[in-house]
Amino acid sequence: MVRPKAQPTGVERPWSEADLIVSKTDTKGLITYANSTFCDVAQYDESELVGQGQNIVRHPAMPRAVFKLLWETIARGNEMFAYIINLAKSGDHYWVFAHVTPTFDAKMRITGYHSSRRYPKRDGVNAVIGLYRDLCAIEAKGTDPKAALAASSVALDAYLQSKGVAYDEFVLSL
Amino acid sequence: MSLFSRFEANSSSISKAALGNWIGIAILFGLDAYCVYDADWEDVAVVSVAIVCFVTSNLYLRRAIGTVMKALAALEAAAEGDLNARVHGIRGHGLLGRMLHDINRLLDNLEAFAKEAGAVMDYANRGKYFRRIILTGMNGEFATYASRINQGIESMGRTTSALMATIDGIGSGIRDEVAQATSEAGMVQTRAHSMRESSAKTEDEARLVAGAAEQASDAVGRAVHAANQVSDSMGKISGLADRSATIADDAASRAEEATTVLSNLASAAETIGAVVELIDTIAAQTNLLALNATIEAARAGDAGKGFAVVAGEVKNLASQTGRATHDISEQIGRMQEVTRQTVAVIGEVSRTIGDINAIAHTIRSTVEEQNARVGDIVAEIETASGSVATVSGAISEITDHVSGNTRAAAEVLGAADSLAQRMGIMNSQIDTIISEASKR
Repeated sequence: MVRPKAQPTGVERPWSEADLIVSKTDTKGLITYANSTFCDVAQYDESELVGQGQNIVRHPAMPRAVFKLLWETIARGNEMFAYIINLAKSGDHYWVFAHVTPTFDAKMRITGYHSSRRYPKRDGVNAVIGLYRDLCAIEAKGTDPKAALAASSVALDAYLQSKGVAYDEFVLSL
Repeated sequence: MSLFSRFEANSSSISKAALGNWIGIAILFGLDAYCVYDADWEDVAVVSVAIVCFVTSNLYLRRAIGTVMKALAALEAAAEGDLNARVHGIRGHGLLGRMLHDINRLLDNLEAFAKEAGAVMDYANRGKYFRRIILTGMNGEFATYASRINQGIESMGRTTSALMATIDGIGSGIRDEVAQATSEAGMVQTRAHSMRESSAKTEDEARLVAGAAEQASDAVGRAVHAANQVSDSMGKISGLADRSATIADDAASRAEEATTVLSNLASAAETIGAVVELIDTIAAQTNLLALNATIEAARAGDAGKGFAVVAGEVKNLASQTGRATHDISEQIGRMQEVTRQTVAVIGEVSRTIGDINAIAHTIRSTVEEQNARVGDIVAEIETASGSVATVSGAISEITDHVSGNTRAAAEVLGAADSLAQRMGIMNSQIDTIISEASKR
């Protein structure tokens, strides 16, 4: 069912600063809603996205350590901001500034996640490109993916500690 | 749900259009049946085309109603506050399709705004003011209200940090004051301690002094008693000295009398001596006469023989007298010697008595002086006794005061202890306040 992904073309897809790319997933991360902007920018029909994992738009330049931090953060019930590069159906890419939040029911149980992506600040993108490249390099090393991911997470923590701020404050300061 | 039931429940324009459509279809079917009965096949064809058109439009109308129902479900959920609601599976890009997309866009914007506003408030609740609503993607009044929230948060952050600075300032001021007060309470504690100790010492010493004063009072009493006894003894001594003087005077006059008697005796002895000398002279003349008589008797021969015997006897008598007077002279001489010695002794006795008399007088005057002194001493002792009583009174008052002081010192100490404790509590509370405030 999952089609083989297109190779990244290196072409950036433009999208409007006035729009929001919105998607919702269930607790397993499967897409339950994609707004029309998402469909337009990612070049998919709604029916192609709904029921798929969010990683349908996963770009190889995106470090796993950032997603690990993202899932850990939102699973604890907290919001998460992240600069994310996504892959469109054609292999083109687009940068977003994602705000991912859990959705709660009346008993404050997490029923799903909501991602509202904004047009990113170019300075922010430029700031994370180097970090992401370093983290991806660490993750590409070695044969044990788990160990590589752990090493990458340690490197991300060390980077944040060197900045002296928590991740959210770091991202929002970019 | 059929169109009719919806029509019955709520008579909307779409429902009315659907009803009109159904009525049209029914009329057309009737018309078609009439034309078939008439065998007017041309009309049958026209009416049948009209029926197909009506049925097709009815199908589209049903689809439109389905779309509206989707929109209605999402909007009703959203109106009930479920911002998670969306219209799913939108087909077509016509008016209704755009409407559904716009409903989703509205809900996306609304949810983004609500979640952002909520998150910003959560951060502010935790005392973090760096979180702002991201204005990118917020349009129109969403952006306006988001900016206003951001401004509010920014101002809250500024106010809070100013407040924090003030609290910090006040807190450190209070902390300084409390530290100062604590150290002063500590000093009060120390002083109250030493006050209590010195008070207790003073109390002990006052008690000792009171004891000593009591002893002194007793001693003074005994001294007065002793002095009185001494005074009595002095009186007795004085009496005895008087009697001694009287006796001495008496003895002196007796000695004088004895001296007079003795000098009478001496002069009597001298008179006897003179008589004895006269006797002796007479005895010598008698002896000479007897010698002459003897010679005369011898010349008278026998006739004188008797006379010679008498003359011899007279001569013997004269010699005996001479010897006797000699003895008497010697006796008188010895007697005179003894008398002289006795006079000398009496003279010495007299002098001694005079000495004794003088001593007795001295004793009496001395005793009188001493008596006067003893009187003075008694008076002074009585004065001392008064002073001792005063001291006793003063000491007992001092003891009372000191006891009061000791109690006061203990109370001060207690107060200082509790003050120090309260200062400690206050300090930790202020620390808590400051640290609580710092968390904001």
